Amino acid sequence: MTARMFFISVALAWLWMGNPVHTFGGQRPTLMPLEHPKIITRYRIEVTLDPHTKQLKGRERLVWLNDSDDIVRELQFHLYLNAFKNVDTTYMSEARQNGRGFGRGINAFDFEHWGYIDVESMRIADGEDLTDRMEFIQPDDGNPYDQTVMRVTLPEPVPPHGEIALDIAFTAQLPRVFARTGFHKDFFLVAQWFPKIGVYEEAGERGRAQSGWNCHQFHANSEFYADYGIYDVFITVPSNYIVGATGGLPRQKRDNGDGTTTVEFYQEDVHDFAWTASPRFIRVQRHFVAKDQVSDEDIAEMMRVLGLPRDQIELGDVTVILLIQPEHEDQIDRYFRAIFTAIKYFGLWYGRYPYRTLTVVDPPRGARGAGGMEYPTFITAGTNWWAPKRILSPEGVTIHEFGHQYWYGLVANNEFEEAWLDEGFNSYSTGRILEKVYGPNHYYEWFWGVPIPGRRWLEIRLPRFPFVGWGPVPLGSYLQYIPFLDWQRRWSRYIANARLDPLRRAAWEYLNADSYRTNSYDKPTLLLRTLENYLGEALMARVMRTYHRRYRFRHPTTQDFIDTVNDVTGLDLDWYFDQVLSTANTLDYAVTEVSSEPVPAEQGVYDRNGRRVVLEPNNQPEGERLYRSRITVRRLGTVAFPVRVDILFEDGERIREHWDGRDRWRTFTYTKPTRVVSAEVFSGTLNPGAANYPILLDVDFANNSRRREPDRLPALRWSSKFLFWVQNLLHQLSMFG
Amino acid sequence: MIAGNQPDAIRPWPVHAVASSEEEIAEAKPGAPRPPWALVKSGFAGANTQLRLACLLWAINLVFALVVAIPFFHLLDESLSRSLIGQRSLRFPDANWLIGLLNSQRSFLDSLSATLVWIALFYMVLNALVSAGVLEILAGGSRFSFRQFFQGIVRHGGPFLRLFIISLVAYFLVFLLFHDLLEKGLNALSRDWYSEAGAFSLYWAKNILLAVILLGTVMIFDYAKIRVVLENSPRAVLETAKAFRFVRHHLRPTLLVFYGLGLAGAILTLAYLGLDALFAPTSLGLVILGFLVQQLYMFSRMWLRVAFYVAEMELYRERGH
Ligand SMILES: [Zn+2]
Repeated sequence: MTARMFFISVALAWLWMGNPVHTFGGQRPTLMPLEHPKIITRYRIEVTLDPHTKQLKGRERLVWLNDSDDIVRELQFHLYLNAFKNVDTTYMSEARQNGRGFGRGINAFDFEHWGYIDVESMRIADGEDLTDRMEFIQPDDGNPYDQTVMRVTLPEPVPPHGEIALDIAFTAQLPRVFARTGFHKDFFLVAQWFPKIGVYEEAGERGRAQSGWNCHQFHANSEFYADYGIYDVFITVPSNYIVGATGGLPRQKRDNGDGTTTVEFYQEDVHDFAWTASPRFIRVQRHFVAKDQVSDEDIAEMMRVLGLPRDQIELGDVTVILLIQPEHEDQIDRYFRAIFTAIKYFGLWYGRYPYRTLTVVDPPRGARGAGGMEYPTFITAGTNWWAPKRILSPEGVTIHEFGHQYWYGLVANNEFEEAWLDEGFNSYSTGRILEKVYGPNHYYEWFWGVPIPGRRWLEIRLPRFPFVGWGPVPLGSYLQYIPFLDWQRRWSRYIANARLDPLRRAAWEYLNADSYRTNSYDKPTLLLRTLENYLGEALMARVMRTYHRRYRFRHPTTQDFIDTVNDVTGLDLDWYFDQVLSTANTLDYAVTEVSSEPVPAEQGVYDRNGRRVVLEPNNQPEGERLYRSRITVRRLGTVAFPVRVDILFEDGERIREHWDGRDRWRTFTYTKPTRVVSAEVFSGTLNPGAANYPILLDVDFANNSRRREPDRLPALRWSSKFLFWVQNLLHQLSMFG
Repeated sequence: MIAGNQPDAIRPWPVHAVASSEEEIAEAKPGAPRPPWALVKSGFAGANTQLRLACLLWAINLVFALVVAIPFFHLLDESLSRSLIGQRSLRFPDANWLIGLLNSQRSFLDSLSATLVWIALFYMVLNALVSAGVLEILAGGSRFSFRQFFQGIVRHGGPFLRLFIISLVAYFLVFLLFHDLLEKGLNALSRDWYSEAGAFSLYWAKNILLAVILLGTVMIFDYAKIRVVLENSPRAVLETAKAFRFVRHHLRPTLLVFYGLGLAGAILTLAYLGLDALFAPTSLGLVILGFLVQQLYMFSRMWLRVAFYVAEMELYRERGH
């Protein structure tokens, strides 16, 4: 470290940022709640979009703080756009192997429009040229074709807690929208677009053994990780373009007099920056006014549940900007209702949304790969022009992507390594809101642009017409909407893929995309809901609030969450997390026996009151008929969990039994003048009086209950429908006979 | 050679074609073709006199469907009848039960699907033969008898099977041109469209075109079968070509008769759907009632199939010479 470099960088920081409100110090983060993150990176980027060549020309000044006690001799950068440079990049080859990447799979990639980024020059601000010191590295897989990570060896190291300022010039060629970023005609969604510095972590930070850069390659199944910073971005586009970006409301707008306009966006306390531009957006701006959206009862309820004072519950106002396709204009209100609902409940549950704006982008037809993605204060959703109300089409994705402001944006785990901490926590939260506010969704399948109610249940793999390749041909679906709750949809993927991988592993190390999704979205939702049912809603709410408060503006790990759970509940729940996070074992409890037999009449030789009596079966008193009922519950899966058994008798009596679920089976027997009707297993609960909930991680719900006497009516009802359906199919086909 | 088997013997008017009003009598004179709507009515009347034929078609259909429905019942019985999830699945299938079943019984359902495909193929072949018997009876104009029915199968079974194979080639070509190739073209055309509604209309226009052409092909093969029976001709290729020419020369009446009867089918289906929406089968009585309604609907479709043949045969008789 030279004193000169340190001086320059600190001076630059002052010049650019005005009065920084953030303190730079050497202390390790404590677990006191933070109002603002520690600012590690400061970007000032000027970028010009050429709508014809789909190129970005950028000049970036980056000030990076070495927030460690180490001497840092090299820097590492993400060059994400290079993932789309050729078919041999790590991203593209993984997408091909998986059969799918983000969005619609590799077949959706436009092989005529590759994407890449060239760093034309890099120099220390007013100092040495580093361009010749740049080299590509592949820390994850050694793939020589992958250029998504770049290393720059510094002529002089950055000292502990020192800063370095760099001037970088780059040209980025956008791909046609495939995965998140790119163009489609005159629509641009510009994300992962600039040379972005990795995260330098000290030994011990997030449990790592040695200090070093955390800068993973771009994988088909992974998202991102970055330090908090400040972004000041000047975007130049044709003057007729409407621009939206992280930061929301432009700080200034300048007509350049050459048909272009430059718009400045500025946002503090975030770890990424994305933007969009298109001349075709309808821009709608509305305000989330907290006092109108959140009632006193809502606040009182949360104060009671969380045990927090009013000022920690109350929400702030947010300006929401919706950039929507003209064809979706009739869904503007649906979008805003979803956004406001999300701002309200995420705010009440986890803490107020700390930014002043939120921008929501609705991508056009042909650019769906850009939809359903989160960036700080900026999300992309998506819908169809034909969106029946009972299909929660813009709502689900909008609430989910907003939720990432909390799980990813504010609690910024490493998405490469522990995707479940953002996607899983967010899916859990999204599902709760959807169920609370919207009720069930409905199954449907798209059929040439029409959502047909139902879900495929018979299909056959036949040669694809006209006999090129093989494909599933739907033979039948229920032609009726089947209501389902969000967790049920997740459960359907979970049971299919639960055994593929343990949940705890890096995103690109799962067997395939289905396993990644199941372990990042579905299983976490179910395991958190299972935990919630066990702990009770209020205690779970305190767990989640505490976790969010502790790690807002920080980078927590799975262990941090487990520690928080144990801390808040006062329990040791490691037995649960060990089973569901570190193994691919499954949970399945089943009621395997429900029977009632008349207690046999006394028969034989008995010694009574010192006398010997011989009893015959036919000299018993009448009206004393007793039954012995047996209910057996078995643990068919490997995972053990406390269960409650709910037993119903013919006289209406209900008995609740509790079992720790550890043995392989447990039998309950009763001798009563009445017979058992049925028995059902539910989740055990901390509070024995709590309602019955299924154990959502159970992979088979049909065997969770059993009747003593079978009831064939449901089977008759659905098989007669099936018969009718086959009759129609045959008759229809015979038309061609 | 028996009398009825002479080649080119034009059969007498079927008894059921006797018109019921003076107006119709005026139009029903040989040599003065009746308008399509009268033929449609006449088709209904003819089907009414051949209820046993419709019964036979319905019974065959039911037996074939039972072959896959019975194993399906056992599957559902196994998974639903002992579980409380059954009660929760009466109105809608419980999502967890349905998904769990699809997941755990995947291989069973796959083999059921495969069985269904084979049964459907067999049913189609059998249906080709059955229509030979049906048309023989309709051509004779007499009441249903198994003797005549099987005589028809023996007499025209060969050409009908050949017609079946020719029709498969025809349907393949129709799909290739108006589904596969056309869709590829539309994909390329609409790839850069912003408008979802525009693309939607485009694909649905294609689907409607495909349906119209498919139904037109079905109709041509109906007339080919009628020609084989009425002209007592074993030459399937030739009769297909002649049927095509017949339809081309009488496009308006053939289409009107075909779509008139098709409309009746659509109304029938709507009526069924209306009835079906009236109640959810949540008790044994209602399940049985639902079953009866479904079977009545299936019977009506068979009856309608007979009406198609009757009306088309009369149209051909009036204009085919
Ligand atoms: Zn997500």
